[in-house]
Amino acid sequence: MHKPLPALCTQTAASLCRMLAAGEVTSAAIVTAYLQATKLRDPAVHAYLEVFAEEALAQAAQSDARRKANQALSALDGVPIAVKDNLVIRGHICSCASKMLESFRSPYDATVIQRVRAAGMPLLGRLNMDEFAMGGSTENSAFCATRNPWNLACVPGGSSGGSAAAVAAGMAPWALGSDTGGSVRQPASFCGVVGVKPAYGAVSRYGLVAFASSLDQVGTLTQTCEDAALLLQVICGHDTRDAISDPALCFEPDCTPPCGDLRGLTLGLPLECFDAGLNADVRSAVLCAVENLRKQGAEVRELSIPALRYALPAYYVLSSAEASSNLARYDGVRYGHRADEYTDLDMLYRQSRSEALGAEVQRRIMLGTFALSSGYQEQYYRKAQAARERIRQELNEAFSNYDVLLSPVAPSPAYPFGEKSADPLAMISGDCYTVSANIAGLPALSVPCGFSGGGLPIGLGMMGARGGMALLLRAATAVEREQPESTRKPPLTAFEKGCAQ
Amino acid sequence: MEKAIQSAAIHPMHTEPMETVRAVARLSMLTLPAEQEARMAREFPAMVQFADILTSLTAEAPRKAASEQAKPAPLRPDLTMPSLAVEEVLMNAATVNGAMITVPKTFE
Repeated sequence: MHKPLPALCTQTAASLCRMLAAGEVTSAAIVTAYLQATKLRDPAVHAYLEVFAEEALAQAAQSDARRKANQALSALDGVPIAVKDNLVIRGHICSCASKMLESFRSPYDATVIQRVRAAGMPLLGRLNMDEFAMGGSTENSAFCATRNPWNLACVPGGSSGGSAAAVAAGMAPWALGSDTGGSVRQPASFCGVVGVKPAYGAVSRYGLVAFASSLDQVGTLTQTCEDAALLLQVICGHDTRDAISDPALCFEPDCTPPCGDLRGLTLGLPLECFDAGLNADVRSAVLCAVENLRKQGAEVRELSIPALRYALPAYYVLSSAEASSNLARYDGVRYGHRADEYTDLDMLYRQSRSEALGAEVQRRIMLGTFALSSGYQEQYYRKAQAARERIRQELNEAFSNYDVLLSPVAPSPAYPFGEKSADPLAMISGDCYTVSANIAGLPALSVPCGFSGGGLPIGLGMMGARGGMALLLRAATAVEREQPESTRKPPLTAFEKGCAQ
Repeated sequence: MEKAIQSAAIHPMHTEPMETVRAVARLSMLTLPAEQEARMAREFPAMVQFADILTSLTAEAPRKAASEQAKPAPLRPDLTMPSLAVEEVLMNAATVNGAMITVPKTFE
């Protein structure tokens, strides 16, 4: 039988910041509460691959000492965070949920980890994911499948499924994830949390294990838009160690009007995102949220972006091609898994890779190799690049007339385990509304906007112009305001029902 | 996949899905067990066909504008940084001998 969460675990991260500043609570108490919540719920959810209990408590004690001496490092000093297992943390394993890196221990911190440490935030642990961030359900983890806290029989989405599930289940106040084609926004939608993918270049990728380097971006999973704004202020910023880091993209939240005021904003509804394949509950929740935005003063107009039809195949080809190149480094020689039996170097490479990489990763490497092969490069890879440019141009054109584009995040709410895992194309089609933001390098997010008939959360997708992160959060806050606060966490019955099943 | 099969005639890739899968696996430095090979041979045509919609795109991949090509890449300052400790460098090596990574023994 599951017990209710410790009271502190029902607070938003922003509220914990305020409580710490007022001296109403200590960081040690917050970290202890989250460790307790994890002990209670993670045996059912499987969001964590490793909990850093002792280290987090030690960091919390240091934070409390700083607060006592009026030397807090930031407003977030003492509020803990959990991290997707593809961001390296000095001295800790970074496995990417793969047997290949099962015992890889990082000798350095990723830039985002340095930034959260510099803000004084204790690290709660490493979170589960699809292997090397390839997948949309977290079923592809080599270690365990994470479950959706709203219904334990359903997937939490992916690839940042552990991050979304940990925040939704009250096992972390917020978490870091990564988004190559929707891997932050889709699990956020499935688990009823806010997921933000900043613009390409806004957050350093130094220390993020590469999947598809022209698409990868570090993102946030939080309980509210206010939490997202706080965390983005910490992790955004220029970094000379990431060649695509853009100093022009530093994040300043837009707090000028009352946050959520939509007067003067023009929102676009791309017709291509409301095709026949869209689940009826998702369509209804998204259109209802759009209507609420209209009522709050925004001008909403439909538009057509024909190039979006190329987005998913272009993403599939480009991301697989880049993956085949990026993952060539896992050869069993310098680090990672090495096969025990081999007779020559060629066999050492093959055996090591075949033994340690999962089926989905192997499938994508092979598709990427095929798309890059001399006979097919022109037909697929070059065409995908052309499609990418067309999508970029049409989206930039759209943003000369619209402030924010609205869409569903995924074609359906969370689905039962196994429903799509046998069909790789069905799985990848779940990314159809999210990949265009990665292809064009634009900021995008998912904000909870309703529930399916089965009680599963549904997210509204928002995409903005390259420098439009603050505007996006302003619009998302207006959506959030329409959702009753009581629906932010899954009911206890979800855990009890899940265990009974 | 039809297109892929047609093109395969003028390419080292083979025409049968199973042979294509074997050729691509070899290029990818992978050895697939028979069961996985059979599954990939079933799935691969559909995966490639899915990407075929791109062939209807008439535009070519754009060349970079001259001004963009001339734009200097951002460079890091020329600073020497302290090296990692030897034990940290070797921490993830499968086998070490003293302060060296042991290269796997192979017979060519």
